[in-house]
Amino acid sequence: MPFLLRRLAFYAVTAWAALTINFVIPRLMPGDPVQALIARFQATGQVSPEQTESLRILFGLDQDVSLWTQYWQYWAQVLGGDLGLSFTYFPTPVSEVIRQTLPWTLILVGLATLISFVIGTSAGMVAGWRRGSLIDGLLPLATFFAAVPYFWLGLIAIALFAVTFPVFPTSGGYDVGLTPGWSADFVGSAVYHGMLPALTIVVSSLAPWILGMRNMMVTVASEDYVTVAHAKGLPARRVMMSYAARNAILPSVSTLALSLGFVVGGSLVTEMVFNYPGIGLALFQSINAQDYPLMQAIFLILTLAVLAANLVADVAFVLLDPRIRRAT
Amino acid sequence: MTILGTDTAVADASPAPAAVRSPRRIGRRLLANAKVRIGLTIVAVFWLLAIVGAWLAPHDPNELSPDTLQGPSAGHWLGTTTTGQDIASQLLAGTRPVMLVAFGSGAIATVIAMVVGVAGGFLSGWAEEVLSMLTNIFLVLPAVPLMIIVASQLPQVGSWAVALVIALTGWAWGARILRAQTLSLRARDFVQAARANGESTRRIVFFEIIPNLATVIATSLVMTTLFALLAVVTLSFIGVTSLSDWNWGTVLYWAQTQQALQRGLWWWFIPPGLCIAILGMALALINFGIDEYANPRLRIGSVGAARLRRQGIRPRVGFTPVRRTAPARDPLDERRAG
Amino acid sequence: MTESPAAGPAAPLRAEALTRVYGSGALGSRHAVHAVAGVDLTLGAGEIVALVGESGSGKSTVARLLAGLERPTSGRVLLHGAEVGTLRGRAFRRYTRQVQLIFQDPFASLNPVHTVRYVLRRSLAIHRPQLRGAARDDAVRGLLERVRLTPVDRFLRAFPHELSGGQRQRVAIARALGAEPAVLLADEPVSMLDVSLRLGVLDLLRDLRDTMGIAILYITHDIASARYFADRILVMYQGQVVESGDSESVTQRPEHPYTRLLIDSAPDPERVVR
Repeated sequence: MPFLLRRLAFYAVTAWAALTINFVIPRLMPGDPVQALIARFQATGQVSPEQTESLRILFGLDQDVSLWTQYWQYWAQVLGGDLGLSFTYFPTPVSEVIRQTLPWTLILVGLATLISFVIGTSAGMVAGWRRGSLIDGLLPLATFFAAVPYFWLGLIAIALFAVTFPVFPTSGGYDVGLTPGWSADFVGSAVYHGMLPALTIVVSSLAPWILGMRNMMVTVASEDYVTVAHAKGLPARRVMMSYAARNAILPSVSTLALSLGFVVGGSLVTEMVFNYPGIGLALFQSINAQDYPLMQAIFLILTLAVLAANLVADVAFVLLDPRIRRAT
Repeated sequence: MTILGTDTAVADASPAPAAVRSPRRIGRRLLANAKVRIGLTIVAVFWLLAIVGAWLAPHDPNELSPDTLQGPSAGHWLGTTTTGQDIASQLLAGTRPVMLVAFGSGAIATVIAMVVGVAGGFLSGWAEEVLSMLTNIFLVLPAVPLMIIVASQLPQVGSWAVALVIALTGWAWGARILRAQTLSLRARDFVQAARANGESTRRIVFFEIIPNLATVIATSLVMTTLFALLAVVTLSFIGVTSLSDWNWGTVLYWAQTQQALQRGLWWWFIPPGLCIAILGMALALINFGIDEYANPRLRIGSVGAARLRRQGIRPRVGFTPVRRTAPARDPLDERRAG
Repeated sequence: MTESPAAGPAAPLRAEALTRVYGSGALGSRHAVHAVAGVDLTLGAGEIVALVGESGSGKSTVARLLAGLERPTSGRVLLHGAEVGTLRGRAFRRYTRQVQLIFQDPFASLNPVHTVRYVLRRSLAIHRPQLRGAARDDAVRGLLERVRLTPVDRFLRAFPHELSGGQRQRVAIARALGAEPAVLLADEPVSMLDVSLRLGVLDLLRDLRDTMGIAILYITHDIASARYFADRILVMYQGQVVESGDSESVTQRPEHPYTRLLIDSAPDPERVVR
């Protein structure tokens, strides 16, 4: 099973690389801000000595310990789930902040990406199959939205649908009067608040899916096996779905996996615009507050999330492509 | 480490190298494409503004004035901010940094992509595995957060630092496509023939392989420039870059912090976004043109297809267009009958 | 095996027990394919030897091994009696000065971005660096005349896609001649050409042998053309040479059943011979 083995090795190395980048970046920057912050917290007596120690390990302030030892201590700490204390939400541990914000992002960005993939790929399929139909006209529009930054589209969406025509709320993830939980009111409010951000993500990430699928359909549609399928007298719909599209979708699936990093990163900015209580907003706040532990941890978690999504896409790929299925 | 399935998929999806010719002729053929011409014209206009914009600006972009929050007028083409600064002047002053960073980091990223991608496709053994792994890791790392974190930790974030950060996080996509193409070129007879003739590896890479990658490199350049454009504006909007340099993202940053949205000051946040959108669209158009050139099957564009449709011909790829209903009267038949 | 009189101990090119195994390795040994299994071959000065076999018989691999594009798993190659070691960098370039390879598909073996002039100038720049400027251009013209691509000016600026298959193959031959090689390995040089053009290219190759004394290894699946063109024939089957001898005896009195099959499958051996 060389394919899966190779992929697993890839995941392991990428996770290692992400953790190492996380280790290296704060050591490259001037140590003063972190030291200053720690000193400030220490002076007010808000930080226990153990917590200070953990921050020292994370940010490489232990000048007397060798880099190698620091690296091992860092690993031990991260594997133990200790990502330090957040400065912004002091003295909440970073892991707690992430636990609260990550689900919001996962659901919003995950669903929006999935919806965008499904709509875009279907539209691309039809556009490639029937050239010159109405859907072909959709492409320039989608390209326009893809050439615009997410956050600006978000601004326009708010101006239009929340300020000028107050259909949707301007910001937030749920009605502030409600307490988070699995009540119908709260879920309804969360869905209602999520509509507009999700819409902007879908609209602006549609174009690559349409384009990729359309181009592959055009290429695949002139393959001999598609012509043979037509000649056999199979219904056009069946030829399109089970012959052309099935093969044309493969690159899109692998692109989906690899572009998640871009999608996630771009849509984080959407959260800032909508003041959506996800991990993007937390990142935004951590930057403003120079909250390095939180910044680091968010980057780490996002990388791991993208890797996990890649794993799912890999499995989908194996299921779709019999050539690889056999090889595994 | 090669990702077997996805690599072949990219090779399938990207233009077949058979379509490529000498770079000079590619240039001429590309210019014949209307999309490329429109795209290049828009880019050229923005470059012109980048060069002369600072002199064209009617006001100093930092100058405060008592005319606060005015809508567009003859004195202030795009209105003023809460402190009476002229927005049109801010946009004009901001064009140069945006263009420099977008095209500069697009170029740097393309060079990195070429080195890593072509080397990764041409070398074999562990060097290839390492380069391929490096590319895949950078593809998976979330680029924007990484950029934000790196930029926010730099002590002084000028335009060039931003360009470098963007280039270092955005090269992987191009490298991947170039690698797939190089792999397919490397196995082709003309590369083998050049080797058998006695050409050195260096010459094979630079004179046999790279000219054949011209369209792929052009695509990569255009796409990374678009990525860099969106990235630099995003970074400025978030406020991690230096706010003393004007750029379109900085204008949006101030619009956002001054609640332009809630106050309905459309002239503050719409024009900067439109600038980004128009430039981005121009780059996308150029990319379309290159795509159509490299993959002629895409060339039966929607316009041609729409014309066929009007004539009752249903265009379908892989088939010769056929008239579904015969025209009521065939002039030739009439003449023959008469 | 019959040895030709020209094939002395210092024959231009000689292979001994040449073997190439693909897919071998610690894990993949079960799938090892012996593409070439112990081939002995001698190419005497000014001799044309045909290597005949079906596709997959390993004959193209022999060409690639002899050209130095691949390294044999075992066995050795001797150039003018001296063993050829590992071919890299300068050593490889020196080797290509003696041994040149012509590919089967002239549509694929010329880079679409380069003109004929560029291709030939490069070959001369590599192998005859002492020729510079105008002298090099004169040599380019000489090469084109030698492969009968005249008028020369018509072809100098041409790109490969502007030429016919036969013309392209002549350009490929001219490129090989730029090295003034002792040995020409021609891997199915005419199989991709229109039937009407094949004879012309084969006659050109024979003329090169006659005038320049170049030894030619002619690799083909067409035993009829081998009989027409070659002095000796080696028949290859599943990676091994199963029969060899001078062209007439191999085609008239084949001993190995595979050779007989090849001859019987040929549409009409007499047609090419006229």
